[in-house]
Amino acid sequence: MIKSIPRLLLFSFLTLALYNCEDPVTLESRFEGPELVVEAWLTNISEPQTILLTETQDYYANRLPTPVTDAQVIVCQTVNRQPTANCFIFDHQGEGQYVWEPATAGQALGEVDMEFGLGIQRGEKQYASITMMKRTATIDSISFQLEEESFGLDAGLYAQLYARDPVGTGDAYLIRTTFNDTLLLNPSELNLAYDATFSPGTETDGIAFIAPIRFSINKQNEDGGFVPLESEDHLAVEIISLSDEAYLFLRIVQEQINNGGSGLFDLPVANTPGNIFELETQEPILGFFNVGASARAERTVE
Amino acid sequence: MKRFYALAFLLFALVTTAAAQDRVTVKGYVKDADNGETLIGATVMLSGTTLGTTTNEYGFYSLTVDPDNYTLIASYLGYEDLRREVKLIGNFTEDFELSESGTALAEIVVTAKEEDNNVSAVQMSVENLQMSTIERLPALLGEVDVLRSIQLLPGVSSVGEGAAGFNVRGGSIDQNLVILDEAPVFNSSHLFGFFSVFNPDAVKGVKLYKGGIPARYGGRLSSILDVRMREGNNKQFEMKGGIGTIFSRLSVEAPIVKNKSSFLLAGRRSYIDVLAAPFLGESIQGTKLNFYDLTLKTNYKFSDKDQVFLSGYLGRDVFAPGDQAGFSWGNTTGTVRWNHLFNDRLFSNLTLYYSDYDYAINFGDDPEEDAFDWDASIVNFSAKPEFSYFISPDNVIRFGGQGIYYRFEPANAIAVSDGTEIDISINNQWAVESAVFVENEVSLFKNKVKLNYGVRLSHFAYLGGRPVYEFGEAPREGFARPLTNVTQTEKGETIKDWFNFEPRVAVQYQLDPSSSLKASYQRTAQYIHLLSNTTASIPLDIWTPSTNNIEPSLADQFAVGYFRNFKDNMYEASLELYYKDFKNLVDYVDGADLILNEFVEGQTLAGEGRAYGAEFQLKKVKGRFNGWISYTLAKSERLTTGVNNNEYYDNRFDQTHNFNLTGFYDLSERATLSAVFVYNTGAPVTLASAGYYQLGYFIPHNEDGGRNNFRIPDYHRLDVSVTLNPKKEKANRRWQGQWVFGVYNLYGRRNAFTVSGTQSDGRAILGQPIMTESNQLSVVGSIIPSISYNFKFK
Repeated sequence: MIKSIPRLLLFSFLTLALYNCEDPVTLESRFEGPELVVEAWLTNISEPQTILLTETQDYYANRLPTPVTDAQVIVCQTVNRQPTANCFIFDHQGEGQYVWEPATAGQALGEVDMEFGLGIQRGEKQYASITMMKRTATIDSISFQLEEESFGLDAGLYAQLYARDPVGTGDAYLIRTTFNDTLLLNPSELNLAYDATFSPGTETDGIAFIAPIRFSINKQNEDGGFVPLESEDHLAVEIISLSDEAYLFLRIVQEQINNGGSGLFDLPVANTPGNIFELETQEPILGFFNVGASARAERTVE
Repeated sequence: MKRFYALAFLLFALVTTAAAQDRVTVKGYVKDADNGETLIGATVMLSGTTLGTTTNEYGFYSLTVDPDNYTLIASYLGYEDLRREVKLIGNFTEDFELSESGTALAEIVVTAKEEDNNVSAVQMSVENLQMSTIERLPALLGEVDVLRSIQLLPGVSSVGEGAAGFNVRGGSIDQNLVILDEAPVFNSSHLFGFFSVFNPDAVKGVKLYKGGIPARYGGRLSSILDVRMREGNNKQFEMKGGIGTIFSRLSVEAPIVKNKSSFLLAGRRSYIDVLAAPFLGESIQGTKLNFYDLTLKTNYKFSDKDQVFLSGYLGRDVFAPGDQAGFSWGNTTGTVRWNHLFNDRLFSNLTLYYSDYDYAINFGDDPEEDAFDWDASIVNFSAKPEFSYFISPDNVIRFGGQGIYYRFEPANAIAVSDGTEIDISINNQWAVESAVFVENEVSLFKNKVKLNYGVRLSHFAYLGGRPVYEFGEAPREGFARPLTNVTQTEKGETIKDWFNFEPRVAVQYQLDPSSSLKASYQRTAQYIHLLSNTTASIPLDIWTPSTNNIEPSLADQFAVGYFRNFKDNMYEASLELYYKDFKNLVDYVDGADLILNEFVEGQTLAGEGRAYGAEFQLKKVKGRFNGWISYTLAKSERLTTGVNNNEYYDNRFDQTHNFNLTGFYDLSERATLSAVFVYNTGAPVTLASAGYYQLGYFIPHNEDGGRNNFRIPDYHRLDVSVTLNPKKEKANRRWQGQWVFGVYNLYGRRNAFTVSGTQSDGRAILGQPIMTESNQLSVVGSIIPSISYNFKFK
């Protein structure tokens, strides 16, 4: 990025210069057995909120996950890890989807700086997690700009997300784009920001998102190249705030789903660290619980 | 510290007085008659006795004996012996100039050492390669390569084809001290790991210490690769060059003052970009893609007692796709060495060097609006005085010291975002490393036993001038540690320092004239670390000193070996066993953020390691057919809390079996056929077994939590080349041309570099399954033929 852009450059350099090749191979299954997976990425928007319960599968199974339908799910506002009376029941509505719907217009799970707890009961086992809702960035605009042809970029019209990181370090964001009603989900389209740059450690703060992040809302082709916009294209962008643990989780997801295939520059295979724990063993299970503040904007090319 | 200096002087005084005063000394240099290059490791013997010595790194020898009439014989493999009658009644100087063996079918130099050195020297775990050998090896794309050739030696492995650096006896690549005329080279590769940065025209030879490292060397855990540059022809003008697939080379050398001073200037440049230019699209017409290096060496002999050498190196890789982005990296080194003879028996060398590795990267179309500019470097200056005192032919003492000043600049970086400039630099780091050493080599019991023992006392100080960070307990095992405290420090103040006592011992026991047993022990300390968590190191990796959060690494190595020569030293065989134990190795948390991170220390973990193995080697050093076979059976593992369920795991470069066969055969007076066959166990990689969905993404999951839990297929490859030298009747012409026809990977095997599971190409759609596949990546996936032409003009 600032971190993988050099790596990308290196890789294209390598491809240019050498004779490497990739051959498909078939590996024997090493899958041990299904485990519970929790997908609880909620927001402060007053709209139906969904928690998905599924199971792990063989990495090469090439299918949708098996839903988990026999659980009870609840989210509560908490104070110092103790539940308050403000609890939200997530009802199973089929296919492992547990949904809470606002009872009144404007009702939401809570506000920025609130603490939330997640509780799941499945058979004898109980699982729990605590998180904080952090603030999100302010979107100024989505702009469309003509770009000249340059290395790795075709000439054409591209979108840029002008958004500002609030003053004070430690803000992390997930940026998602829905392009003509399709949520952009290619591995290279997973976009994260930390205080307006890609990651903590640069101590950058309170500025507009840097250029590569602004640009990242564009649709990408399979090689990670940006696809220029066409007339009538519609872009909807959402910036969701992340807890520090959620940022680390997604950062590892980002590394892992983009890893492999570059050979020399691959990172070690690592498991993503979940923040939901089985109460009895205190062992983390798979999946994540984050309640984020959301900022949204959309625009159509004329 | 003071006590140690006292000890050194005491020892020195002891040996000085111990030497009988009425003995006489003969000393001098051994050189190549053709070009005046000094010969390292040449033998000077007293005929009819077992007394003799070998020349040091500067071609110098000194023999102290009882007064008498002697015949001195100087010899060097591949050269004609030279005999001189001398009447030694007083101290005497005798230089030798040896000529290369004349016949075209003469023995090829496989090892350039005293003929039975394999058996008789105390040193074990050392590999010497002369340029004449390296030049004959079949090379990738015909490019003669110093570093690739050492990978044919036992005990040396790598993470795979094209990866930077090499791994010695289970050590990671930053545990090798690669020195070019004493100056460290921090990144020894052009184009990642494909070509080494050393121009073969400028190199005299290389010596790799895998174990039994003498006390005069230090600073790295696993090996010393000593690359010596040629001094330049001091007899006559000479020009060499070559046109290869990747590089064109040119070197000139000549005497400045005949027999007193000479110089060598050598350069290489790649021309992929020149060749590719017509094929590039218009958008990338301005693409720069090249690498080059320049080597300069000169020397001046002020008197019989003083000689000064100056060497410099500059190498760079440049990659700039158009005007909007650029990326370049390279090493710069400079060395001044001063050889001084205090008297016939006390030789000294003072080395001063400067070394710098840096890279720069920038992109952005408008420096005012949006840009990114980053450069980083590691700079060091060093002074290294060394003394050799030749007490008698079988007793030499060496002592000296070294001081190194380091400046680490991990990032001088700015990002301009929408017109706002932000400084994302990382604070510099400073450190001083110093060491004193004393080392004695003696023969005991009538040359039955040889002993080299010594000690190195090293010290490292991490200096202030920047904020110093303290980190708390990690929230979970294997997680990053949170920052808990920041202290501002004064420039020059010592934040933390360490002393390490590094004993080194090697002993040889001569069983009979053609066989010996050897054993060695070494402790080594390493104070600077390369931060890298990719499979192969990348040019962007940064070095860090040991800090209040990163302890120095330590290693202990024990080795024993049996050495035997056969058929009048025509065959050399060795078997070595080693065990190595590592402490405080740097490892990383999952998802570690190593680049542009001011708080990178919190992302590191400390681990342990162990490596053990057996190395077998058989060399045929003379004859029309010669070469070597080596086989290594080894294991190298790491243990880091938070990784691999807290159990030992195999290093990525762990190779259970490693077999190499290297052969040279003289087809005729002018043609040589060379072949290399390589076989090794496939590298271990980590593969996910399960997967799960989250936010619409499909995430790989490794159920057993193991690291490097799968072996990729074994690696094997055959390379051949034919070298065609000028016809015999043209041997005296001033222009000499040589053709080399080579084929790398002759049977075109697609050797795996890695096997990985990835998401298949194609757009991921919410609500539809994400497809995955497993692939094997081969870095070199075909036969690579090459032709190169080399010339010499004098």
